[in-house]
Amino acid sequence: MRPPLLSYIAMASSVFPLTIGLRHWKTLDKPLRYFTLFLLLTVLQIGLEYYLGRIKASTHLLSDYYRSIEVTFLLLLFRQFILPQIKNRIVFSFLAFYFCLWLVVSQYFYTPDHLNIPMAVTARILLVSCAMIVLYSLVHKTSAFLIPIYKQYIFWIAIGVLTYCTGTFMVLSLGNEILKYGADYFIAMWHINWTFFILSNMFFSWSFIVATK
Amino acid sequence: MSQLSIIIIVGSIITVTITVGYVLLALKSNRTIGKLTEQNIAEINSINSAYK
Repeated sequence: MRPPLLSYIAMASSVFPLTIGLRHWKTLDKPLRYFTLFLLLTVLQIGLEYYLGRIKASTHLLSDYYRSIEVTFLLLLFRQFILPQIKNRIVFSFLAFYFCLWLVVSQYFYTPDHLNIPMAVTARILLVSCAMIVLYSLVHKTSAFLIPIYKQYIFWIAIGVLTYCTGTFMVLSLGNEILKYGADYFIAMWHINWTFFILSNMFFSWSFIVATK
Repeated sequence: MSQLSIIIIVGSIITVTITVGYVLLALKSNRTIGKLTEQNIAEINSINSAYK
């Protein structure tokens, strides 16, 4: 089955923020360079997933490993912007919880031909919580009193993460149910995922533009 | 199948709406705090100039 046009647009959209990041690499600060590296890994993962799809191999295991990388990278990035008194407690307890659960789920509950829904849902909940804590911290930081939060690049990264994670939460959490109705229905529902992926990449691109202004 | 579609679409709308509400609240709080800070700075400046 030929993938729909929106899936190609979604794939292409992931290259935009990466291109802007690499173009301004020298002027970027440390957290943004770190974020650019994460975007590079995302593009590589998408390319590899596309290739596996073409040779009709399962992409579930790759998605599962990539999710762990995604959670680690984004939580450590958000750590830099959370209020100092709570940042270590929150981020490291989130990471410890995620990896402990991952071990348990992969040992006892994981079936290779299904989407790893418990971990996907856990990852989304942790990322949404952390992005919300970042927004809270931005509002309460002294520097935010004088510089509006929308002029700080981390605000747009947090918005991108929030948009993608909340928008795709339902479609992802019911992924295995959707798969039961066949490929056509899955692709129709997966348009929600691609739409929010494109939106989040637009926010990520904007974060680089705000940072380099 | 259509019931599942409705659950997914309505659920997605609800989660996105909650997020948008939270973000708007953060922006409003930031604006209010920013205005208060500006007022405080203006007041401090006027007190300072009165003492000079």
